[in-house]
Amino acid sequence: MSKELKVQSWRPLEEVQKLFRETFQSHIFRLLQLREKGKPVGWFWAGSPVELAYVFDVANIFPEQYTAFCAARKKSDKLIDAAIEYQYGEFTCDYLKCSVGSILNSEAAPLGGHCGLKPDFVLDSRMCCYGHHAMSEIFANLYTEVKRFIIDAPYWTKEMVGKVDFLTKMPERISEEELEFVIAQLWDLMHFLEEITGEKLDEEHMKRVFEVSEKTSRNLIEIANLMLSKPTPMSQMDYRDFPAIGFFITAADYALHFTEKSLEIIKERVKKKEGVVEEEKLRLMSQGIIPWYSELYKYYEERGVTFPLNLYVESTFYLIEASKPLESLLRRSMLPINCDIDAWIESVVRRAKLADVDGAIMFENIGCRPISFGLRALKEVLWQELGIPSIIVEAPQCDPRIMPLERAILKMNAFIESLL
Amino acid sequence: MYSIGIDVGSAYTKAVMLAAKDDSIDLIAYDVVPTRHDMRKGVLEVFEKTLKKGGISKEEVKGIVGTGYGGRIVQLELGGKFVSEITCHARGARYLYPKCRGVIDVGGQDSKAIKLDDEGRVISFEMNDKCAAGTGRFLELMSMVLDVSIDKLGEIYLKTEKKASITNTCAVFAQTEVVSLISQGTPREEIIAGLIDAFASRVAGLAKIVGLTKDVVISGGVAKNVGFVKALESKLGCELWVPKEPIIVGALGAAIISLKY
Repeated sequence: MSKELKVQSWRPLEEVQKLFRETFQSHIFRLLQLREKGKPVGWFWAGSPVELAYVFDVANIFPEQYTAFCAARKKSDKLIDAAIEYQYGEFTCDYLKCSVGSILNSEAAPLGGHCGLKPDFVLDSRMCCYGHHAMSEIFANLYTEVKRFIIDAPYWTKEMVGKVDFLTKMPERISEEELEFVIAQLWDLMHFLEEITGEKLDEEHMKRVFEVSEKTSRNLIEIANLMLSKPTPMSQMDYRDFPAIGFFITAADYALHFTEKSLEIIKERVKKKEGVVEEEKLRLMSQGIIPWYSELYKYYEERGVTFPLNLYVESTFYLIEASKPLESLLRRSMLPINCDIDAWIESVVRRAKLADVDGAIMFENIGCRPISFGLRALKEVLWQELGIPSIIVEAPQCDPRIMPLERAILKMNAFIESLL
Repeated sequence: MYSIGIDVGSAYTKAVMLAAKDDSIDLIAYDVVPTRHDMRKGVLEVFEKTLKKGGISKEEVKGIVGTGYGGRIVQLELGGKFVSEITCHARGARYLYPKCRGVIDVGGQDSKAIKLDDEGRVISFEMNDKCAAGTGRFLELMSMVLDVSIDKLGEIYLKTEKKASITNTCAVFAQTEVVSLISQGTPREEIIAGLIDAFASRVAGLAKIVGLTKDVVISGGVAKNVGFVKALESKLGCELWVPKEPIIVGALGAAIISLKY
């Protein structure tokens, strides 16, 4: 017998949303202040050693976060079209198309395209995904006289690292050779930043930066664990802002403030056993980059379907250890797409058990192929080992035109009907 | 008690009226009209026609369920509930074939494979991606290019031994290939046989992902294409159960569900 989910009163955490807006403003303010002081502008990628931007006080721009921002405000289509007109393929990385499009069609780019801050240098990273390297090369060509530092990390196999906790990115082990391989590059990068900024490394300042980062990162991990509570305390429409903190600005004072306050609010909700809706009917796991432009999560949460476990959001969190700053930076490369799929799936199974989910919704990101590779394998394991059914929905993260919403809702509705 | 299920698909809008008394359910009437740009008109037309065929008034209908791409229009115009077409096809197929464990529905705009458990509950399903390669639209396009009535394609397939090799990945690419094959002088029958084979491969891929191996019902308008059904049976290695009116299975399921509301 088919049941229908009734629309309930939806309870997002407006205070957290307000705090995030303030955090974002603080970040923009910092960038403009640094620029005014004549500090260099650096473009950084997810999974790269972003703490160093704070150690050397450079204005840190994050093209991926910017493009997610554009997509969430439904301003990405013209940027994507500009890149396609420039002969980038329709199915290349959404972040690449939006980033390049924001340079090619800066008039259509919100916030003047990356806050109007052209890069003085690009931190070209192969610590997470090869696409970052390709994009760095493109930026360096589009903006002439841009310096580029290339940093690499191994692709982490299970033999190398054993079990990995993909929330903290703590591996079971790591060899001296691999540590040395990355740490030597980190020292070179710091010398490069000394050259760019004209300032010597201040070890005391570095220590303070990593202390902030550690506190922020621990707060994020605690929030991720609180999300597993019953009922799910926070909406994904609030939680989707957290990757911007975890990936890029954990070392900022304003990020620490945001996570401290958010943690307090969420703890209070958990204590009162208050959820994002009054009656939680189903708990689902979510995987894949969020289709930023869509309100799918809200649509389902309003109907009592909550998402205590979002693997994509968790992939952006790390445990940073102030006592081991360089090792912590190395671990920024331990993202699911830079590790053996088996190691990732093991970790997901552990989290899915803790979250006690009824099913999983996986977004197959047409605009990010690497993140979509493991979905079918994960679907199979969740079913075989835990009896958790899954649905895979095509969803480019930045281009709503390639994702007819009705079609996605149809698939997801059918899936949810089968769970009731 | 009377109930009506209306399935608003991309090509046709279908309605089925049921009467329930004690433990028995009887199919009283059904009708199919083309889906119009203004879906509302098609919904009202099929509803009125079905009422007329069944010889009852609107007030006597106690349950209505809408399904398909325009299923929400049914809810807006006539009230009742909206249920996804996956659930409705499963329910309709199970009503017609109580032992069925799977459904393959090939409609005008999409195709889907649905796996059922012992009780007829949906346990897994897959749909084609956005490409029209595994849908009825593919056959429509190709019949136009080859200038053959769509109704004849199946028979031609059954009579043709040699099949041209055609990609199954994209309807537009396939069309280009067909034009190329025509210009190379490949006999039209071989192209048709190749097209149906490619189409069946695409749909079989969905069925294999969800693990449909036997006791499978095929629904949707394309199930009337005997060549396609044969090709699909051969790829899946099992006989498919074809209802007398495969196009109304979704609407039938919707009508069954509406009896419960």
